[in-house]
Amino acid sequence: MRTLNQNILFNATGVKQVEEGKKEKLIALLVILPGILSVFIFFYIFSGWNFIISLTDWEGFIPSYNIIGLKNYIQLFQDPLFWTSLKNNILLIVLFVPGVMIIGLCMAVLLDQRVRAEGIFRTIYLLPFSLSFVVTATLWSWMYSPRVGTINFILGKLGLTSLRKGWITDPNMVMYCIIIALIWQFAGYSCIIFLAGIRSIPHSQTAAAMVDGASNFTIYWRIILPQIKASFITAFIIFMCFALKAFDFIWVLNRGGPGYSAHILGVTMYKETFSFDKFAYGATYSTIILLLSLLIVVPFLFRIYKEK
Amino acid sequence: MLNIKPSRILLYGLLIIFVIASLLPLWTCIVTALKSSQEVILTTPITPPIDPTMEKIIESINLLKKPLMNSLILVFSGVMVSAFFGSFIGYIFSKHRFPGSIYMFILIVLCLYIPPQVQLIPMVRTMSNLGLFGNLGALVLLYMLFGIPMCAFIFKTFYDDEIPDSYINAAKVDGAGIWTTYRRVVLPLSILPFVVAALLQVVVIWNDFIWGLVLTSGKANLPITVAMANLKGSFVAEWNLQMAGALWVSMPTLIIFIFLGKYIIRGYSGL
Amino acid sequence: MASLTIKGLTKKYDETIAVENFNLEVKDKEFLVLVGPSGCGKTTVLNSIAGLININEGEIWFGEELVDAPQKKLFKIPQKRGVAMVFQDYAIYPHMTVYSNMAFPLEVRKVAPEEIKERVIKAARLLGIDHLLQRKPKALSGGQKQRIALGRAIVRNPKIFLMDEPLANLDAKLRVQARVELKKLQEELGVTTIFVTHDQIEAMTMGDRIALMNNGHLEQIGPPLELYQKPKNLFVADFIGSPSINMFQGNLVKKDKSIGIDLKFFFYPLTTKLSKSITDKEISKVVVGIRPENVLIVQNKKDGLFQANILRIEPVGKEYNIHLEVEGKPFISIESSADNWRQGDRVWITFAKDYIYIFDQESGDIIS
Repeated sequence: MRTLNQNILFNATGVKQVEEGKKEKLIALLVILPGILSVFIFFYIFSGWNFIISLTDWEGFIPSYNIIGLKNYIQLFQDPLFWTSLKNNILLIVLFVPGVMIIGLCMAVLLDQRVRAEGIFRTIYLLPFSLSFVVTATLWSWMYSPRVGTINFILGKLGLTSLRKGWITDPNMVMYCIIIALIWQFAGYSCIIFLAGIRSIPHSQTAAAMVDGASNFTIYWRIILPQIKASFITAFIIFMCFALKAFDFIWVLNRGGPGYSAHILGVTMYKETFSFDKFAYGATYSTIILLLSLLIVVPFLFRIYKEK
Repeated sequence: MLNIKPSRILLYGLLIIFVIASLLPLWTCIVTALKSSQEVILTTPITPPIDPTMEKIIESINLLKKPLMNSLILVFSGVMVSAFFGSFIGYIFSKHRFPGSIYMFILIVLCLYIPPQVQLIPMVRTMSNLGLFGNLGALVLLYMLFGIPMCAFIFKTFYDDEIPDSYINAAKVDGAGIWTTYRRVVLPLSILPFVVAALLQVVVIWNDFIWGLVLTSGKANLPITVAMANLKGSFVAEWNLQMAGALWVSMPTLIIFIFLGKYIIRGYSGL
Repeated sequence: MASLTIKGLTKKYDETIAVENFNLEVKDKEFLVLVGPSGCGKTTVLNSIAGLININEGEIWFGEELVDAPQKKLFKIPQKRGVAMVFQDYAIYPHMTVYSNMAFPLEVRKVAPEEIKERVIKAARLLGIDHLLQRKPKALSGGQKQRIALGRAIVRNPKIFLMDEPLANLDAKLRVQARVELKKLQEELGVTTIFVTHDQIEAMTMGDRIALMNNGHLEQIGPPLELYQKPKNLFVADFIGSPSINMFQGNLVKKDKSIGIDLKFFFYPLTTKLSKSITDKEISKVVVGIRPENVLIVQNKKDGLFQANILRIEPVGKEYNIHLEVEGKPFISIESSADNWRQGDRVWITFAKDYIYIFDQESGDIIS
């Protein structure tokens, strides 16, 4: 943008010549500026604002508050609910992220075996991902329903009556129920990411390995998987970020209950803010969620774009 | 066809198990939605209805009619604005870079990963200052902005990979400016990213829940997901009504995924 | 129509220098080929002329008109330079018909519709693509696309044609044909043309003059045969000609009264005139270059010959490339007949006296 001063230039004969190329570029920038600016305000200024709110004692819908420094954070770290939420969130991450990646990878490898009607399988696998969390939460509360639910019905049919449980009404089971449902919803998406990675490897490489006598297993283990590192990273980032901000499914399922047994950071943040009107304290939770997300994403993004 | 290898049978067996797992919840949803309340209690959750009835389907659409319209409004306004902004931003960042543009673009992409929780409280404040809090207008405004980073990303990736720089250079040498090149060369070649970006945006906006939950109030302003969640909360025992409602909510995105799935897949696998 | 003058062009990308202090004068209506290995900066020069990149230093003149001079804060945008460019991938817009592709440069310049039609059809006739005008480019062959790209360039009546390896994507047979046609077209139209290629045969056959670049600077400029026969340095001698020139490293030594070059396997005596110019320069290590057609295989031992082994005899149509080896050093001779020899034979070799080049090993510059 150093061009502002150079905008009016002089050619060899000294006649004033407006340098149109740069003027045009400037106009183009002005056109995209409102879009970019409002995006930046929405995403970055708001994040900063949220952090400032977390330094106040704002309670209730009407904004009247004093800056109290890091007191909210100190309170947060002494709050057993925060630790419960964090613990549940970590459980979600530790089981959901690898779970959805492994199942997606399996689906992708299976689909890569010159399957007939591959497109139909792929479409079906992706269908759960088309649904709103509101819908899937409704579907799964029906699946998990203790009295008339599908899961208990099937277990009964299989003669496994002893395994029948209260599922989402059982505080010890509810997180696992949620994790299974979310893996169900995201597996197709994960499959698509890995399949795209596998398909980006030139066919000549697998052909060469086959000619060399490599078994199917060897081809995947030694040739394909090492080359789809990018897909692993992409999937990891996407699912990590999702697990950190997850809210909709759990909230609709049972408001994070029974009790606090399915409270994760996103749920507790919403509850503190909008159920108890503790805006500043809620903002403290969001700041923690943001920091954790950035910790995962920023190194990854900079690495990708540095390579370009 | 008698000599099918056992490994092939195993392969298709596994693929079909995944199919059953993917479809089972949807199946129980559909059969339950078609049952009368009495039949729900009498039959198993996976058996098809003996005496199918549209009763609950109609009852639920009556409850969800207004929110459905609201969501349609949100989808159209949001998709239009962010796709066009995204396309132009993608074009500039791909073909007319300026000092620092790469860092600016990283910041745009980073927006995709920022959790919505951070913006909830400031957004509530801003919307009530604008006098839009509780209204559908708040969501209209929000989704217009919200989709820009993703659209910009889709378009830039497409322009980087599919439109060679020589097209732009040729147009330049031939006398076309930034606008003319966009209008005459780039835009006509952008049908695919427009379809992909629009479909992804439709799905995102239609399925979004948290913003509607926080920013709207009153029956008249709710988007469909929030109305559906309320339905679930208020008719706990009426599973067939809930399932009928869930069917309505999932219909548009299911149709998109089934019939236009290849575009969605292109979007998810990074074009 | 215009001449082109480039003075002291320098272009840096971050810290790396792509082109340094590059000077070039192209006469009106001349066909100049810019040739060099990949990464030598030839495309950078071409893009600078078009205005697609901003240069760091130097001046570019089209005839009497200064179009680019960063020191004078002058930069004419590509849209206003009046050059036409043909790209390696042709840059044909897939969504437009052949006609619209060719009409595009005129349309954006707001030429009257009747005139556009007239000029496009005229250009299409000239190139023999008038039957394709309503087609979409997708289904067309490489040769046809290449003509469309040319057509889009010539409808504009540009001052200067810039061509960035326009024949590189054609298959070998088509390329030979396209070379002839393109050269003929340029002569008919009489438009000053800068043609970039990495292919020295293309350069030799098409250029009125050749500018050979290496590492961001000009090595030599001149008519094709001048570069072939009077290379200024080792790089030029090596780059031009196929098969490449044979090179032998050697030391200058005194023997009896005259000076000669000790090639280890052979002592090459120099003429008095030559030895005089060499002794003035205080050089001891040299490279002897000799083109394959000047390496002669003879039947009988005579004075001033040496022996070499035949590694391989390669028929290339009307002649034979004979791959030879002396003391581990391979070299090539071109002979019109190879009936007398077989692989593994030991034969006598001589160099045609007047066609030998001697280069300074250190600087690479020619001595004689």
